[in-house]
Amino acid sequence: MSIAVPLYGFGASGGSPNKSTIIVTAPTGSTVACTMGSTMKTAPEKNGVWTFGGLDLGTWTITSTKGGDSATQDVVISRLTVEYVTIVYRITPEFTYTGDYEIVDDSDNAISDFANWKSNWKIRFLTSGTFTVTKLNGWNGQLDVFLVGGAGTPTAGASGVWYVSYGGDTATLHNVSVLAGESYNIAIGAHGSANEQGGATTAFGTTCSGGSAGGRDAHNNIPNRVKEFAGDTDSDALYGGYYPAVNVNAPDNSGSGVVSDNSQSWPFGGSGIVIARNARRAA
Amino acid sequence: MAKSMALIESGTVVNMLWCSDSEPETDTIINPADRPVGIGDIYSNGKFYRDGVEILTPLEEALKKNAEYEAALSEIEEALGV
Repeated sequence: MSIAVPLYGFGASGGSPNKSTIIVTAPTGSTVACTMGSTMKTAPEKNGVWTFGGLDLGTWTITSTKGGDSATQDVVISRLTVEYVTIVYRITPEFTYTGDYEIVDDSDNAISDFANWKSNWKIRFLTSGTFTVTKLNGWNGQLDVFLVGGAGTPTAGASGVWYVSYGGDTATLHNVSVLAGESYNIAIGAHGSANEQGGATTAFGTTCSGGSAGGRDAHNNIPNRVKEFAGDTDSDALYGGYYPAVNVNAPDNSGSGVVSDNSQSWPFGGSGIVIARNARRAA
Repeated sequence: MAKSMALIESGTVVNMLWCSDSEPETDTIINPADRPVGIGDIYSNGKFYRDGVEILTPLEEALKKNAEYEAALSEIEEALGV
């Protein structure tokens, strides 16, 4: 963010008359420079603030680095002015995942520009794979993780009689430490075949069993579906338990069991999921 | 899209994994295609078994039953001298 303060006819911040000034706020300990063409201005840090004075009109480039973090911002000086620039390094990790995944905000809206995202985030691991953080950037390497096992699938039911399968088990982990360069295998449990248990979901040292195939009127014993992270997000999605629609497949990655009252066929339970988010509690 | 794949350890299906459509087969992760494979089934020489009986796809199962019906019909026709 920058704020232009016009200084009509006055010198800026005690610098040269008729010259402009850029005041940069960046994480303390950064190396900050201000350049235009072959001209480079330097300034000492004063408690996380760098003041570059005596700047001619034109486009100045602010570069800031600290350790492995860096940021660049152009500032256009078109009149005598003081410009304020705040540098925030990337706070989201860079990673690879060999399976399918999506990056979303707390309401499950897709994040299209993760590199410049400055708020909370979640990674929804949809299929099995290997997760590797290649660069932590400004992230502290701490995850909260929610796991759901794959749901079972019932046998064919009977008209008017519910055959219901169980959803996968769920678990929530807080402050899981992730190291850059280390690979973490994530197994997403599949839904069961007809009259079969679902697969187990495993990630970050924790396993959630798949739901069983259940049986006649099993829904009387099946726990309700739950929200991720015990409801501690803005997401309304529900997991585990059983999907309360008759003869309908449960959504993929819901880990929810299903209801069959059809003697000829059966719906399939939902596959499991792993959801990881930047940790929200102090370690 | 995604698919179920069987995780094999020591010749036994130990888990059913939900995998990307592009996930390749390996020595330990096998695509059972339409076969209704479950945890605890046996995997040997490229085939899945439960209680000693090979697990077939629905199409293979239908073809097998059709062949059995035809064989039985032939026996009846032979017995009747048709």
